[in-house]
Amino acid sequence: MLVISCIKQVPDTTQVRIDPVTNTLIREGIPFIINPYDSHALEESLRLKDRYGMRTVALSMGPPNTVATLKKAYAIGVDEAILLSDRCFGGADTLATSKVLSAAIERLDKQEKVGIVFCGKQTIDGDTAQVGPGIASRLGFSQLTLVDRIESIDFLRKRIKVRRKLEGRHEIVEAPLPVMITVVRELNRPRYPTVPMRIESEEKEIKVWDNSVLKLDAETVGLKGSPTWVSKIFSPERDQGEIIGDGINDPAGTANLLIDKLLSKDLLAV
Amino acid sequence: MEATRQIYWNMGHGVVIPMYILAFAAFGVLAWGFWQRLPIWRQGKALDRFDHYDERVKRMISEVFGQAKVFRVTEGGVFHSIFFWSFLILFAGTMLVMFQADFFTPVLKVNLLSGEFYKAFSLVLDIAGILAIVMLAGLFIRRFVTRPDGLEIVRDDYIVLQLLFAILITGFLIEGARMAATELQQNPALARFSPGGLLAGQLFTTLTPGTLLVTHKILWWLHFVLVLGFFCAVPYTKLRHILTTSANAFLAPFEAKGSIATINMEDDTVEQFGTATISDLSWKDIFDADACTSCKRCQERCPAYTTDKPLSPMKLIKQIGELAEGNPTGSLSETISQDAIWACTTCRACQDICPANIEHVNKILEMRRNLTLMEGAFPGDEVKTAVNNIEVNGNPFGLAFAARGDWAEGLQISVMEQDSDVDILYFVGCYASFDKRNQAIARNFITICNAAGVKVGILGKEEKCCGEPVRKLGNEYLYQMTAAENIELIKTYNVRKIVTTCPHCFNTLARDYKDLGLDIPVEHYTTYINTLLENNKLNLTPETFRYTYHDSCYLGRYMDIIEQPRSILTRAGGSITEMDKSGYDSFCCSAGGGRIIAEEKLGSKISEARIKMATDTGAPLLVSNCPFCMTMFEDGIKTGGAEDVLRVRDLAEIVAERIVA
Ligand code: SF4
Ligand code: SF4
Repeated sequence: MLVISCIKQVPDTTQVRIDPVTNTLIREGIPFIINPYDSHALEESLRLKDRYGMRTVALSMGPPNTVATLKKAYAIGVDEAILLSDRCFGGADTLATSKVLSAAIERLDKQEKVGIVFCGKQTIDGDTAQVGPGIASRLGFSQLTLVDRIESIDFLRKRIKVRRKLEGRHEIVEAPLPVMITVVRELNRPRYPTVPMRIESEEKEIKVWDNSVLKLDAETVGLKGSPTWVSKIFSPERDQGEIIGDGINDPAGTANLLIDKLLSKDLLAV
Repeated sequence: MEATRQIYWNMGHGVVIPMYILAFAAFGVLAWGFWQRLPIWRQGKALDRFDHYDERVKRMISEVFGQAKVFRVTEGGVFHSIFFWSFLILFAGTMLVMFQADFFTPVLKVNLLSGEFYKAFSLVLDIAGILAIVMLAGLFIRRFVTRPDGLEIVRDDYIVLQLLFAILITGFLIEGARMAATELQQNPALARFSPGGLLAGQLFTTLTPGTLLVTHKILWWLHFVLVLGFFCAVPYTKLRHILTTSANAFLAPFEAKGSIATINMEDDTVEQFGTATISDLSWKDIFDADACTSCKRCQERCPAYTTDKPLSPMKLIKQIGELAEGNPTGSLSETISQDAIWACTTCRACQDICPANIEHVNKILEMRRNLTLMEGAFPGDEVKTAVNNIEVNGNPFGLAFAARGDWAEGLQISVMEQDSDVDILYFVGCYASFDKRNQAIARNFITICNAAGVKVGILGKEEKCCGEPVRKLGNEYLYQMTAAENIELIKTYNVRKIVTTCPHCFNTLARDYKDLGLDIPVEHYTTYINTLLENNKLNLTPETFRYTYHDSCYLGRYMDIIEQPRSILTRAGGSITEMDKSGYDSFCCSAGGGRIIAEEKLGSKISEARIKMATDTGAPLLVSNCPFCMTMFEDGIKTGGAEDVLRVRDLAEIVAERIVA
């Protein structure tokens, strides 16, 4: 049974600034990283590999430089890394992206049954949280979002039980396989590549599937197949904050004021 | 009557043959004991420690006979050294008697041991014997009565101390018995040159001549057997250190302090990086365990140990020895514990003080290499994040690398990319680049350079972390990656000299980068400023202040820069009150060994301990020379509640304030 993790290479957004004139992201001098949530998805697929010996594949759709991120997936132990890259895939929104990823998963499913697809709960550059669910609904997989623990997998009955992390509560749910799972950070701690694995990964080849492989209608993918597009990016004006208390002379009292304030705005719960 | 004595008096020459046979048998036991250790040492990897042969021999002779390293710590050291010299004299004296009896007299027909020389010989040996007994008593009291903290009592202590006592006492008793029967009656004037024997002789004056002769014979054999016992015990007890510790003075490394083996990451044949089990160590690392004298000096200076972290450098060395002997395939990191391995700040206090030349730091580093490179382990998640940040952004904070040079905006400074014709390249480092407190110090350094007419360049956003913290955490891979980028970049500019404000960058660029092909003079700003002052390129208006000074590990112990910063501060008008631990004995701030990016979760805070030492001096100001120390001390002053009594400032800030316009 195959485990797939869908990963995306994103700019390190802690550093992304918006050009005030053109209202676009300034990407110059910004390093790329693997979308942090996806690194947890990747890690979980590797844990299943370690535990059950399942074969793992990392999938990523993106420009050719995404190989750097897929190399890292090899360096921590995935069996196969596939880049979905084609000019016509470019400029895709979540709908078009999930279409390409689904096509790739279907193709893989023909060789070996896909049991689980892991995605990060969202990306840090798009923040939509739609691609995972999009894949699930296209493929007709069960859909388990915001998972912070895999409780059990019953391969005979083909069922999986997970814990979902919701606002202020947890939910244990069970679903039939195959399943698409989106993961939160609490799920695991991603491993760090060892040097022997890094060295080994240097030799591993990253497969590139373009549209001649996936054979999708070019009108339904990429920019052309995307019903949504970004019309403008801007930093919202922020209201002037307020200074409460006197932190220098009365730190304890000020801390209390702050707590009250946070409580009153429902930002903190007792 | 001539001053001499009859050798083998009362024993007769008949004892010579059995005596030599037994002596050789004892040497055989000694040799056999060490021979059996050979396979244990040889489990380690090859390492050449027989180069520089002549210098090594010289070093061994001076360290063993000079005892300087032992003497460095007066407590215990004085007893040991004086005992050693006294025992050495007794040993040499005994050898001389042996040569006289069995070589000079029968072959050369001369008697050296007569006349004035004999008197002096007798006196010197007796005094040595008395001193040895007194020193031994001192060691005995220290071990069993006063028992300083952490000093263990093991089986060997009983055996060794009692054996040495018995040898010395029986030595005097034989002398006394002989003198009671001979000198005391025939030549009392001569007896005065044997004060020990004279005293012991009083015990025997009431015995009949017949009993006296028998008693003497028994004592002679007893003394002889004890001495044989001593030789036999050498390989099997702590006494082994006589040979192993001496050998270690020969075997100690010749490389610059802090040299770390640069792994060839390109070598495909390497399957194991770092040290996982005994066979990954070098033979010298295993031998070190046999050279350790359990003097605990390392342990009591270790900042990790003294703040209740699970690391003792002494114990670590012993654990290596135990594994090598009992369970060579056992995991070092499990035996020693990962927490202990990660707790080290690589401050080098242990290695610096060790009288046995044991190399602690690189062993710990190699174990970390195994953990990091082979297992992908970290001391904590915060470290993993910081390491990833270094990999992605070239700094542990995860801040935009493009902003690295922003601190220098508005200063009179060149960015190399635009203008590389500069006097010095200032390698800024991560902390001075991004950390507010340390940025101020970088700016002060620029002010100083400007005043001295030095044109400074920086790499700006092209600079990356020097790689020191990750290297010290064992991540040689990432270190070499970032180092290579820095080196390649620096080489594209025509750099004449590099100056750093960070002692960690300093060590790394000056020493570690050499292995990777950077060969440009590197200086720390303290010596650089000192030279500017000495050459009158820079002048200060002294303004008096009281201070205490913190020798950062990587400037003091690693680079021997101890006097220059103090001399600058004196010029600036400072009067110093030294802390309890300063100079080579300085106490780490806690940030070395990559600990700067790790949280200190175990034990108490090292920085607070150091701040306490600073406040104890009564000086209101602590001067530091390192951005890591600065960060730790600012923190330690707050958490340690010393805000009202102590301020920490960098040397550059003091100097910048006093520049003559
Ligand atoms: S280098 Fe410093 S911290 Fe590490 S073991 Fe030695 S004394 Fe302790
Ligand atoms: S390692 Fe060195 S300093 Fe530490 S106990 Fe052994 S001999 Fe003493």
